[in-house]
Amino acid sequence: MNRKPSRLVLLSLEIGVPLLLIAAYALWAAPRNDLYFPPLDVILTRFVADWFGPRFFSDIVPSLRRMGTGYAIALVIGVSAGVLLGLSRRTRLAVLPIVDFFRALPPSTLLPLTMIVLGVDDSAKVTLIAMVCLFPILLNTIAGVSSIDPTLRETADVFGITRRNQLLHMVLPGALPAIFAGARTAMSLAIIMMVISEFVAATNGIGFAIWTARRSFDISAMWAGILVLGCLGYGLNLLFEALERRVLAWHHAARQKSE
Amino acid sequence: MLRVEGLKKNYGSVTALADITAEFPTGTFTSVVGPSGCGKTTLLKCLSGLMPASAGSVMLGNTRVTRPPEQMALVFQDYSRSLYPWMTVRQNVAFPLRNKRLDPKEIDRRVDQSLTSVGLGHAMDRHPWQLSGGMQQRTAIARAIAYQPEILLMDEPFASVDAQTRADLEDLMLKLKSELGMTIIFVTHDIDESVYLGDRIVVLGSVPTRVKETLDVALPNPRDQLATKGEPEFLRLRSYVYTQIMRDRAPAAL
Repeated sequence: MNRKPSRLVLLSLEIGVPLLLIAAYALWAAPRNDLYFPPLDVILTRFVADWFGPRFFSDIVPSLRRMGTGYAIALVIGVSAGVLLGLSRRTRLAVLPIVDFFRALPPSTLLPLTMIVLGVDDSAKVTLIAMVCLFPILLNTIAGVSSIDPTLRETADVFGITRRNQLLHMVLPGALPAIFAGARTAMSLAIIMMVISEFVAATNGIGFAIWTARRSFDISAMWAGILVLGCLGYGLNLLFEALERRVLAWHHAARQKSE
Repeated sequence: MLRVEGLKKNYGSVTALADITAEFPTGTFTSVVGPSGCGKTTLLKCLSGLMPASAGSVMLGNTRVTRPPEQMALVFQDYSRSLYPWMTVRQNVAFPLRNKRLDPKEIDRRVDQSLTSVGLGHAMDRHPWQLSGGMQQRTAIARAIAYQPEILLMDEPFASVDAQTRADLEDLMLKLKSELGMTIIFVTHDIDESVYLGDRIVVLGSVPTRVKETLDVALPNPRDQLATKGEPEFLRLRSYVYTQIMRDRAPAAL
């Protein structure tokens, strides 16, 4: 018999397992007195001391601003270019080889390029984040748009729905599940690129803080920074999931029904 | 009046429609019946202007149909793919009315009225995936009639619903026909259905497709699933159409 586990069991697994791992680390690290793996309470003390104060504004906010700006640019360009390419087979044939070439480059290869061309200020970091986030959003949007059922398009054509209304009420909603999938991949890429760009040439930011701590062998501060990144990523993911559940309710419900 | 003259459609080197000439007089219900794979859907797509013909013409009154005319609506066979899954039933029905420059109140009125007349007054705020197949096809029909077309094209609309639902939907079409007085072109491979619903029947042969015959259906209205289907005229027409279609298939089978 395949009984569905109760909500309580699921919730305790979701919260319990991470807590158990944290406890395991605390027990393991406490007696070691290891430079690289400091005791849990030391890391947590640093975490609170370092990040719940002025550094929130001097480091977290700049990081979030770079990431957010780059991500937003990628979203706007990726979705609009993706819709255009998804609708026109010819443009797609002409542009996709170039897209595939750039996509094949490891994201960090672009770092020297943006540094040389744009320097070391924020615009270089934002550009780098945008360039890397662009590809998953673009490619998923193309796939989403071009896979909209032809019957839906013909229906719109028969009823004389204008191009504008087809775009707003058929193409975009139809491609939205794919766009969300791309945006989600791009979200984790944005965090990665934000950190990498702050490692190399920055005067503030979470990545900069981690890098500086490493250079001065302040290992617990480094761990505290990593913890900030982890929490940030986790939080953003939760936010994203909540948004997706709202916006794509029809999609998830329809899929569940067909299974 | 919708008129097709010498319509031909090739797919590459394959001729799907060889020569279709037919008339669809205003206000009549014409069944188009033919063996499976004879290009019925192709014919409808050419009639509606969704697909260009290789030769010949489709004339609506005095104008040539080259793209979907405003006076025309189409109900597809596959309702699950022609309803917009992100819209509720109400939004699906209202969507084509956006371009008609109607008063929002008039849109609401038409949506309510058409959904009520197909028996979906209670389900307007549901999404398509919350409905049974028959209800989804009713939604598609409501969408077409809310649009108030002069000509309604239907492409095997009841081919994927169960037999009971099918009979219900057939009677719904007869009711709508008598209420609305539209020109209806109803494509089907079901011979009984073509006779039961039609004022006229256009019988198609197999590929490369031509019109074999056009028949008038002299059955009294209103029709009834039991009484009409027991009439001698119904039985005569049914076996006549059946023989026509089977005779056409025989040489291919040998």
